[in-house]
Amino acid sequence: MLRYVVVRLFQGAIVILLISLATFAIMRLMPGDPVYLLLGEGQIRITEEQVEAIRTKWGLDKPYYEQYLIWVTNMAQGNFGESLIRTGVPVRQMIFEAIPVTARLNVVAIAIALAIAIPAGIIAGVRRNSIFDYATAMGATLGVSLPNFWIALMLIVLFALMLGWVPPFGLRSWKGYILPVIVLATEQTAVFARVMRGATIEVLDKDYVRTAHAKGLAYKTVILRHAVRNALLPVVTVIGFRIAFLLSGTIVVETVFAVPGIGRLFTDSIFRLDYQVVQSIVVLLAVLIVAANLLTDLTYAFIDPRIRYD
Amino acid sequence: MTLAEAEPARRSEASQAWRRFRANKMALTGLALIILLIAMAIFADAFAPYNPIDDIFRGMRGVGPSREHPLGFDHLGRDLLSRVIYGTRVALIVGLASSGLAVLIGVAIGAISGYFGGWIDTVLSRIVDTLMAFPVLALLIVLAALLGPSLTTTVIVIGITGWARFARVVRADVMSLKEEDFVMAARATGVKDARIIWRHILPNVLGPVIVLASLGIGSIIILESALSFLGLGVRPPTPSWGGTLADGRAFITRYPHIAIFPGIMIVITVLAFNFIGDGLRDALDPRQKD
Repeated sequence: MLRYVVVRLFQGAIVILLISLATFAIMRLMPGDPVYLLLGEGQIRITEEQVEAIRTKWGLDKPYYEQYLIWVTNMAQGNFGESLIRTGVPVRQMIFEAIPVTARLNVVAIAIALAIAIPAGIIAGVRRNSIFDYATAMGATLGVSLPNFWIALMLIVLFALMLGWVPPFGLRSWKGYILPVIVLATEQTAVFARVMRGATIEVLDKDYVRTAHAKGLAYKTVILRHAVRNALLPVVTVIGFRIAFLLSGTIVVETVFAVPGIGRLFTDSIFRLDYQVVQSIVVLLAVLIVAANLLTDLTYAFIDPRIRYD
Repeated sequence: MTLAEAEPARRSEASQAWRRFRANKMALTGLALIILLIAMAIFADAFAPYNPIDDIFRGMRGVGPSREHPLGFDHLGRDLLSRVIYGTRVALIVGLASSGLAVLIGVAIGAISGYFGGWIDTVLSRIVDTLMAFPVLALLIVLAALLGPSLTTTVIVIGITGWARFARVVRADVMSLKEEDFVMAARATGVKDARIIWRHILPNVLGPVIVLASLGIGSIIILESALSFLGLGVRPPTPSWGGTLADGRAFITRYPHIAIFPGIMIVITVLAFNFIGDGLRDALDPRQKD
């Protein structure tokens, strides 16, 4: 077990290193020079010395490998540098202001998705080929086929513009959270329900469930105690695996609803060529995803004692 | 399974698969829809009543649906129906071409990785892990910004970021296939590695690849429209569903009708591809059901 954890940690570290290298290379290849963007793109007259001074200050005059090493060392120490565009503001501060917003939206969305998907998946799996099963299957297919930014726009038209129940953009009151959470939860609900249904069906065929029935346990006990507990396993994996997708969803949803979270910070920084911010976000995400995957596998081992890693 | 067993053994695998596919009403509906959409994309000039870019109706900015213009006008006074019809081109080109590119890269890398093993496999597998651990949209956004948004860029970036899933599946299949007797026999008679992979191994991994590819086209179309929606995909004035949705978002308080139909088209197209994918999965790989 310990050996397994060490190997996985090592692999994760390599993945993070590769991502940091790739991100660094990509950001340096981006068109446009942040120095000029910073100085207002030709609107103000700038001297060569001023340009040089800024380059020196940000280390943009050093060779690429040196820039990379400085950046990686700083990142490892938790120092993400300063924003190139919002002069003097530490990237760390920008990211730490945005994380709680994104986290709140996504945690609530996942909680709602699980609260709907797990019972729906179980019922659909137990009552296979019933009307409820077909309805769940249809809903799940529809859920993954709806582009989240379009659902977002339609919800804005219906609930914000026509009915006026919630504000169309922003998070000024708690009502602002409702639409973004619904949008984020839709796709997750569909995915989780599908997995839960599949897992339930599979588990119901197992010998130990038949044994539980045979020894005369109440139907409800068999389903809840013997079947569902084992069927939850794949759902745990999917939650871990979905983190990468979740983030992709957040980018668009935050843009539509003008939510000041990580996704919005990311797109804004791309358009502003704010290298430091984009690099830092990407690497943080990689760390998060690698950690989530590792955690998922360990949880797996914890929930299912049959799994042993040596 | 019972259907498959009942079939005469002499029937070819492909025709057995087609029989199973044909029995699936959803899959057939999806196929019919896609054929219709492809026709609409190819003959967009004939389907669309107006030119999607040049026909600008004065004084009709953001006017809602009417008899002559069933979907109304966009924020510049262009006929929305025509723009939505032309938008089919972008969606299908990106969906099919990106999938093709991803399949090519993924199959090649998966086959090399699985067949040769050793350090090649280790390196390639870590690259696959890295790609799988990346939020795709974030990567797409960075790459699209780097290469400059255009149709070609969109196809390439979606293709080169989406191959990891194919590589993983092909690698696993190749690893088990290369231990099979027929591969051993080919190797013993001195057949070159490249030929063994091409003639003896790849035909056997095609089924799962086709299924995975058809199930992936829908999400690629959603990704494409997300990119265009963010202003990093196909550039205006070229009509694309995502781009029109971006217009719809910008004018949502004044002209809410703009955002409705491009979205419906995306949903129909994605659903159709997903139905085909489900049908193909059941037809080509009857063991694997969800």
